[in-house]
Amino acid sequence: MKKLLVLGVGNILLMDEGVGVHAIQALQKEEWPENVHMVDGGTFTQDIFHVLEGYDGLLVLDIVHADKEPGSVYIFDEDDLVKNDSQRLSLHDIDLLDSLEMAEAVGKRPRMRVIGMEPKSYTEWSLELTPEVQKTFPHFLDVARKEVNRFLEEFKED
Amino acid sequence: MSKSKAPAKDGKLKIAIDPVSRIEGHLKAEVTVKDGKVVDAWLSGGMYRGFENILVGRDPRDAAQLTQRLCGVCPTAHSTASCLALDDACDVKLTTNGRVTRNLIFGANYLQSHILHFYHLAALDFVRGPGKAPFVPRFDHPDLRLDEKTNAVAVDQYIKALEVRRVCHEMVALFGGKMPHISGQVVGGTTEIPTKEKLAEYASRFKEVRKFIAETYLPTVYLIGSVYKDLFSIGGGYKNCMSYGVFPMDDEGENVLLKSGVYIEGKDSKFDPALIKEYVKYSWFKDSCSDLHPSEGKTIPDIHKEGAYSFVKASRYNKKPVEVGPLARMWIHNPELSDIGKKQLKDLYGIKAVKFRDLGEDMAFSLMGRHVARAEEALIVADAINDTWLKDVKPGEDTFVESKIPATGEGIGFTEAPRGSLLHYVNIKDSKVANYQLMPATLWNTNPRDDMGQRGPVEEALIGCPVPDTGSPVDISRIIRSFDP
Repeated sequence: MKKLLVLGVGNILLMDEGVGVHAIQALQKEEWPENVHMVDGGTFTQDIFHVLEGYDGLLVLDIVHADKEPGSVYIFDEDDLVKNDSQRLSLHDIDLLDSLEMAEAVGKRPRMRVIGMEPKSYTEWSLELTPEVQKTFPHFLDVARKEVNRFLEEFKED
Repeated sequence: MSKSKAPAKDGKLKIAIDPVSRIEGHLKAEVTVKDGKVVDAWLSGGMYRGFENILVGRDPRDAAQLTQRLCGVCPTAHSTASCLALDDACDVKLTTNGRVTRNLIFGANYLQSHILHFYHLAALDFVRGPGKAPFVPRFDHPDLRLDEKTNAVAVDQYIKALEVRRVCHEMVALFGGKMPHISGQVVGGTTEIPTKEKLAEYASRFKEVRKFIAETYLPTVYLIGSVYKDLFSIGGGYKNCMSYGVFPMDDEGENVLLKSGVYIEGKDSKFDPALIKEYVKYSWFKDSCSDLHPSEGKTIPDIHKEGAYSFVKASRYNKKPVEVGPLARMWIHNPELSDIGKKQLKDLYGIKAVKFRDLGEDMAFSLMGRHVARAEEALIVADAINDTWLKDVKPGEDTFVESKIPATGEGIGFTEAPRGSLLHYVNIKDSKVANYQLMPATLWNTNPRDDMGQRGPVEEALIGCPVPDTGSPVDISRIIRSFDP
């Protein structure tokens, strides 16, 4: 059976920087098919690529800068990120694409999509999200749920 | 990686490489080049950490957990130094099993760290990889000299090394907890009892790691070094070095696997903790933090300070800059070289060497000398795991001694992180942290000028570095990375 990894990344000490982790914690409380795994990726070290091994799909939840209103939600697929060099700077040092290349080098790599949230603040210390991001957080979760189901549909077709 | 060039002045050209580190930390290098050589250098650590201040007022035991977050590569080293400082402050003596289990945890971390450094951080400057991350972006003229066959083997090893590192992490996790936040080392010992089953798991994983180090990593370093022989004659720096000593081999703390000592201006001396001080004339800290032993240390940032250019304090031993790390440890301990090392030095270099110092000061203190020292050290640690610690550990026996946090007291922990000398100091009042000071390994090497105007060890090592092409200052990056920043 094909497997999907939903990975929330970020630092929950830095307000909106942690939105991916807050989201994964919320989604972990819900019921999912057995081939959907929810993982808290934290601040994402160079060693995370081992977690990606053996999956067919990867859905990443994180903050993304795209210069819209704080709280805006984006969906990217891999091509969007590969084509755009300016997207390739991550607060987590080693970026996702590096990790995917490493996962491919040691075996196979999953197909990736990213759900991103435009942050308001990600340099101030707090465990709370900013009000702007809190407001659209339920929408962020909805988009994540939809994307999980989209992956599951695609797995059936493949 | 961005490069910026200032216009030429007096035939001099300024180049900046920012960031120069591949992971973690944020280090910028600025150099002045004249007649194709570096004539001056400034190293800037651009990130204020402030862990010293975070710890004030907390339960001292928190320090062993929180300071690990300084670094995602070397949390084990910080946990070790912090626990040693707390052991000292709480006046607790470890059991044999506690001491040996700590060595098994820290030893496994050493192996992963050395493999990471060579293959995943430094080798990218010597090996032509596939034209995708993490092999790119890189300099336009990267000076890659390996022939096609050797290069292909090296890329395969790069991938294999990713897996070997995971195995090392699993070894740490068996007794220490999951990287990068190991929780199993605590004041008084460790939390996990090494059962027979767990030791068997550790030993079977270890076999694979030792094989990789002895048969792949070590010979490859000598082989790559033979293709880049000129890199044995650059990056030497002051040729001063220091080691606190690491891996206690008995319960009295008299014997260590890699001994302590200091080597300054060609003379060996005994390490004296009282001679360590930090200086901040060129660092973004208040001048009142300068010229202090860590037991009196202060960490008060001053970000608009005139003339300062780094968040790194200038650590000095007896007012001298000293290099720390695998090269320092190998020079001071001066072990016999590995059989493969002796053979390859003879076959590929025409050098007859038995002990490390037989390489000579000029060859050992160099860009490539650091890689050789690290690889030789990896095998020494692996052999200690195999020949000593796995034999000394008592399956099923306790590893922890209870202790009490004193109302007042102080403690100091000296260890050697894989990248070099590491010190944690704690002062306790009302059973809480009143002062905590950290002197991490990388900072000993990458510090700025001190109050006396002397450059830091890496700054000095860059002097004389050839820069034939200012658009691709590849040897500058290689020298800095040989230190493992």
